[in-house]
Amino acid sequence: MAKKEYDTFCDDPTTLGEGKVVIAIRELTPDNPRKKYLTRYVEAVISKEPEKMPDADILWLRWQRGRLHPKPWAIKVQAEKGEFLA
Amino acid sequence: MAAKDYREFITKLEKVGEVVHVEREVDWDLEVGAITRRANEMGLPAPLFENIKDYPGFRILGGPVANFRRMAVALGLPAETSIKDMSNKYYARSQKRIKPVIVKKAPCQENVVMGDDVDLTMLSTPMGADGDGGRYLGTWHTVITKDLDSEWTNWGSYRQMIHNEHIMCGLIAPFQDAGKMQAKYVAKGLNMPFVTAIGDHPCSVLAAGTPLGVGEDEVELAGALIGEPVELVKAKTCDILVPARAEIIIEGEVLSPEVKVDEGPFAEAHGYRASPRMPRSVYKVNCITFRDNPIFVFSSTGVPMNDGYVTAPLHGGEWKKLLLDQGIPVKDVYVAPGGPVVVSVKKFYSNIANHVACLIWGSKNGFLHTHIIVVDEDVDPFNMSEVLHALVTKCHPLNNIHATLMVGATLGSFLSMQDRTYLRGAAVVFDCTWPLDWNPYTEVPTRCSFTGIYPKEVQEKVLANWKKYGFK
Repeated sequence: MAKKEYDTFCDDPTTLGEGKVVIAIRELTPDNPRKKYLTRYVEAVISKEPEKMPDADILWLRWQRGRLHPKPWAIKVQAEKGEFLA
Repeated sequence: MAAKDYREFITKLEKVGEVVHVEREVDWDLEVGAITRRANEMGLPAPLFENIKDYPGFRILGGPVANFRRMAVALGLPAETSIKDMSNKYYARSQKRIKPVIVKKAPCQENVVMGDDVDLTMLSTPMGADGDGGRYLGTWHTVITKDLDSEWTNWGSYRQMIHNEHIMCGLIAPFQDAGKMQAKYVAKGLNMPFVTAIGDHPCSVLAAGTPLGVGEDEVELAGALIGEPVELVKAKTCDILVPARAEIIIEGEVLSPEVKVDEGPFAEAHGYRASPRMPRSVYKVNCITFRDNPIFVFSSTGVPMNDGYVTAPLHGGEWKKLLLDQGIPVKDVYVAPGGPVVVSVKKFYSNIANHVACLIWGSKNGFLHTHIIVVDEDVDPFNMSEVLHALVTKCHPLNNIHATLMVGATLGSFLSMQDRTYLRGAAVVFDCTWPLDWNPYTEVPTRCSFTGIYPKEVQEKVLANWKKYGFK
């Protein structure tokens, strides 16, 4: 099964943390193509070493002004956290 | 005569070769934005996309007034109208506002989607550029809000990004009209109703971007620019009157400022993606109405040219009026697209350049014009070659450049994030006028131009015989 892809915006990846986090992500590979780029706040497990989570999905990082980080992270979405920032 | 709506506008653009009907299937995800951006940068006609992947029945018009020819057509003028003439026409019309008329039935409400059926992804909003924070639904549009205590209705242009199926987000600064209005609703524990109108009329956004005073309705200015009353109809879910001929209407409420979602980044009006993704205001959508076969209108913001740059010079008339009302001997004002404000004056007192700059900076949207150039009356502000020549030859680098602290623009690209957050800015005026204490005969240099160094009779003789010399 193809991995799902998401992205998040972050200027300093060290502030993301690894393991279980609450994070804002954008859906990049939705079943309905119209839903691409919608934002969700989720609880997820993330890692900057995708090889340590081989069954996880892909999490791309973008700098806050839109440029793409070259190396993706891994993500396993575990729960939805609502529409708004806490 | 200006067109009544975008559909008539497109017909007029066809007659002057300013629209390309793109019938090949295009992807709303970056391809539409890339085509429009390139067309803008090359000065090409506006693309009207008629076959959009995932969106049968929808169309997209990119860069509706991204060049001066299309702006002229939008104003009902010949496409060849000069910028100066357009600016003067804008100013003349803006002095005679036209009140709107209310209609009972409207094309913008041919299709109505409400409640749980609301889904912003049903609209063919482009993903404008790679790295943008989301699909920007509001890039060339009007956001309409009503004052809680009066009949004042504000038309503004606040960018809006799709967050999810029923939420949009965007910046509403507290000093903007919508921000001032929202403060009253918040004080009473209420959400502020809003309407977003997409594709109402090319002149609507021009009016929405004009710095009118508190209590003044931009819809009356829009009517003046179009030449007839704007037709309005009552929204489906609130008391706001909306443009009846708009392609798409989005109705909802701006939630309390305590509720935020991430918005941005976005290719901003000055041509850069300067601001990071940040928590912004939330627009909760309750209703979407639209015309049959709707046309989604969008602007590809970025480096010149685009629609925002084209409308800037037309606002020069507003600055000219402001300065003349204050007794400044202004000859003309040009707001260069993406560039400085250039003011020509008949100088008869020293430091007039600073006086001009202070008046502009002290007014409502003055903080957006961080670079002002003041020239003598013999320099045409609309001729940037002349202006640059004056800048280099008359502006003493140490004596004639005056910078000052200013209210900072939240999107100011040369400001640090800290400065933008706390609205700390700066501005500069370049005084490109000859000093008054220079003797005009022995110290002021002689301008070596056709009109400057030939006797009048010689100039007249040459002009009278110009074609006889063989020139066309």
